[in-house]
Amino acid sequence: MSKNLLEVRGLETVFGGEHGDVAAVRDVSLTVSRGEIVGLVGESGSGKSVTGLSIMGLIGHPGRVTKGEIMLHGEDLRRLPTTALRGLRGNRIAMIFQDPMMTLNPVLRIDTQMIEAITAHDAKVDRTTARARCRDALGIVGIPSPEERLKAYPHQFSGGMRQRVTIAIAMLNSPDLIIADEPTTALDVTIQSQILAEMQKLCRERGTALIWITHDLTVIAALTQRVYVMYAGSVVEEGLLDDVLDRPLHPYTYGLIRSIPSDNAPGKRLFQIPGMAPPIDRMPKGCRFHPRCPRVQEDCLREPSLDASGPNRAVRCHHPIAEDKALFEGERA
Amino acid sequence: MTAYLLRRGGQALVTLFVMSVLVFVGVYLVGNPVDVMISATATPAERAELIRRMGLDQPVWVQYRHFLTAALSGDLGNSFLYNRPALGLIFERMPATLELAFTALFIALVIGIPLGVAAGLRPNAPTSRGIMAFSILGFSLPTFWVGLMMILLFAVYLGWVPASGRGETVEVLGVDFSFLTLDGLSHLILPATNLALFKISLVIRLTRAGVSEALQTEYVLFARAKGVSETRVVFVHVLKNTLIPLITVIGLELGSLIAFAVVTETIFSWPGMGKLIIDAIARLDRPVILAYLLITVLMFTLINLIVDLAYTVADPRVELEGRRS
Amino acid sequence: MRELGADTTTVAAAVDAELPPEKPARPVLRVVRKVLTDPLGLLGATIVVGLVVAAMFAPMIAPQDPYDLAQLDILDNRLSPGSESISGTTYLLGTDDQGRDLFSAILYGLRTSLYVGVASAAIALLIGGALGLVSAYAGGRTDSIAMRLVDIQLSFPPILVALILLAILGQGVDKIIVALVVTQWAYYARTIRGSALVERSRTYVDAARCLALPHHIVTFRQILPNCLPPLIVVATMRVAYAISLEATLSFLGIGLPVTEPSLGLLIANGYKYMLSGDWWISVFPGLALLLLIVGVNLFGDRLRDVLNPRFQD
Repeated sequence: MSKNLLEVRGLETVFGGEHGDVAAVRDVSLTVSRGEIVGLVGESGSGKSVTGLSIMGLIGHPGRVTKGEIMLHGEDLRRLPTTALRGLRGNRIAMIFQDPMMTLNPVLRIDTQMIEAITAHDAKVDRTTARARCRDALGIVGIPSPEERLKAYPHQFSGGMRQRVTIAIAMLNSPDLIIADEPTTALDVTIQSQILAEMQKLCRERGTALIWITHDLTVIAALTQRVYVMYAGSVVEEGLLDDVLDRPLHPYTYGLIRSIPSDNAPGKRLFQIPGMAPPIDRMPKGCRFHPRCPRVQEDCLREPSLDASGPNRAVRCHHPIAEDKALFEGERA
Repeated sequence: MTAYLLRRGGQALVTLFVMSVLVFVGVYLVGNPVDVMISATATPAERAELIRRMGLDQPVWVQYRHFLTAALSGDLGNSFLYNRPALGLIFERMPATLELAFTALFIALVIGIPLGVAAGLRPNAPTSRGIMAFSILGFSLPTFWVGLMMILLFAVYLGWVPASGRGETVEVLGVDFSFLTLDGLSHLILPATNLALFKISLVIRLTRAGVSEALQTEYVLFARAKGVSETRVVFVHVLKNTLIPLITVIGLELGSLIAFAVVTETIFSWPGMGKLIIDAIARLDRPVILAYLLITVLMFTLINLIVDLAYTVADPRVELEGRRS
Repeated sequence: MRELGADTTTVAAAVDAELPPEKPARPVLRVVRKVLTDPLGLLGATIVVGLVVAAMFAPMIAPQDPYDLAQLDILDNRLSPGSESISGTTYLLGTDDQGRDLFSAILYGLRTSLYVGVASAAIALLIGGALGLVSAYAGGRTDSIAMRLVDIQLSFPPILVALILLAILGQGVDKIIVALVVTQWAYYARTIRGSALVERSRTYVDAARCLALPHHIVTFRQILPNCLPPLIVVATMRVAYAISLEATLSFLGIGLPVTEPSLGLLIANGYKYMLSGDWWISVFPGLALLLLIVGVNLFGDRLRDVLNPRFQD
């Protein structure tokens, strides 16, 4: 068995539309080892959420995974029958979503929604045991008087508390991997940092690996060990956290780092990458970033591949950044 | 809770009062029931005597005051035609109508919800398209004509079920029910299905819309991410969210079923309030018209109240306004 | 009304960004073409146009004037479809209990049904539409009172309201039109208010107000045109419903008087003979009614899709 817990190779997910299929995710490969916290960063529409859902096997109509392997413990999830995949979901891999207001069913009590996550994978467990496990799980994520809160409905919780509940649900069966799709984006900054800290602690204690999907580089910086940067459906850069943040190779990563408000001098105009991310049905030819790229040259119309540029390091660019100087116009004006 | 009930009760009383005035004034301004009551050869003296006896010589507002005083003591006047208390006539016929309406509602739900769920789960499947085509047909076909065709087909040609009447009934707690005997059931099935047709279409559409909306939600995605089986996703997560809003609609539709029973009862000679009111309108039997309308309004108000309460019980997010204050 | 002192450059910029939806040269033609390219839409339109033409020219098409007693022969009563009359002509759809040619009676009945349905829908549209528009534009108390009225009206089933009114008013074409208008105005009021509220909140209306355009200009020239599509859709569906309701009431014998028989009354006339096997007297007028209602609904359904692709159910 390989040391990698999860190994995704050449993933492609397409969505059927009026004018045929469009690929939302193309040639995405990533690996996660046991207990590792990996960041997946990109703008909205970059395909990071679709990647997460594809791994979970939760891409619904009109989308479908068309290519690639999703190996968990060396077993390709794409080849598993539906029931076997369902047995893994919520058990070995769990997922948390962005908006805690939406992810809990408004008309079912918390205990119903928690206990079903246990009974779905263990039909023999009796109700009292399952209930006790749920109560403990709520306690661990910092919900006061968990016994009473079990009987509550989602609308009786605050946003932060609800997200703690979904985290507790994800942790119920001690999964090997949790995919977290922007779970703190909808929360206040103070609550966000509390939850980040707790997730980090819980994952370390239990040896749970984590894929943290976000558009926020500051969260990535605070939490993860390794980063994948996605743009327009593909991974454009990967590497250890410090390497990527300190020495970005791809002009897009570079622009993304420069766009963090605190990275700008006070009183100066905030930096933004010129232009907009392309819609998935109208992708530019060649390198998908070339219309917005300051280093664009003739050969950028040829599609670049993701090439390793060292251990744990790869970039999808014909002209990666080698030197440290201002790239974009107006960036340090 | 008490405050809420009191306020709702007050609203109901105001509605009842306004309705009674409107209907009373309206009904008492039309035609002359004496013409219906008395033979053409009657002498003017006999005529005057009848007018006096019925109180029709008084000003309208005096008649209304008499009517209101009597109504509050449960006396809505005697039917001109049957010369019996109008309220008694209504109550006598009410169980038949209610049985018909509730059976129709039951049929609408039992057929409509599964078909709606099926159409919502696989919106593009041929069966779903068939279901939706059926529901469009159910919306546009005039109920009374479908009723006639049902009689023609099932009663006249096939001879499976009788075309009219209630059949054999069983008395439970002083009320007759048809559905308890086989014969009664065979009389009930055709009119109830006919009355239900429109509502089946409605329930199909509402359920389908609810299901396809719920399927798009993140809580369904999250439930799937938990590894919950598809059956449980559909029957617990999706269905509960779909059925709660349906409660309101069903309540309102029960009222409309009772009103629409007028048509079905006429076609199938079902001895309910509907037939009574049609006859009363044709013969200008004012006390019966008035009693029917007041009782119907009362029932509507009651149903609305019950639906509101049921909704609060069913949906944890809703709290009664009165409870908060 | 918002502050007039608002930053005019902002308003101007907003107006730039959001002009009222532009209209292609002939929007009506475009919509009609789109409806007709769909097979079901075409079928609906064909049925409706065919029936309307047949109804309009009924006196010319019909073999006899079914209400001229001199033309009826009681000896021809209850003849089955295709029978020959005493005088040798063929009754295509048979005759009723008074020896009336059913085909002619249906054509004349269509006339009445269509007239009542369209007239009541048009009047209800005018009244309800005006009320909804004013309600949306005025807002505040006017709006809440008007909408309360709409809610009360809609909480009573149309058939019950019509029953009450007809019990009060008696029979007659004018009376049934009144009853149908009362049962329908609220739907129009609610529809137009809904879309007018959306339109009102758009920046081009703010801009028009900032220019101090008179209320009626803002309401009728700016808001109304943009509320028309949903209103037209509702109107087609309502016409179908009005026709169906009128037929139902006439069938019950409390709608149109016997002197002006609509399709509903024809069906009622045949009802008593149906059980004895003379099915055609009820069935053919019923089929005509069915065709009319289904035609209008098919057309309306398609129209709804064309006018607003997002609007479903």
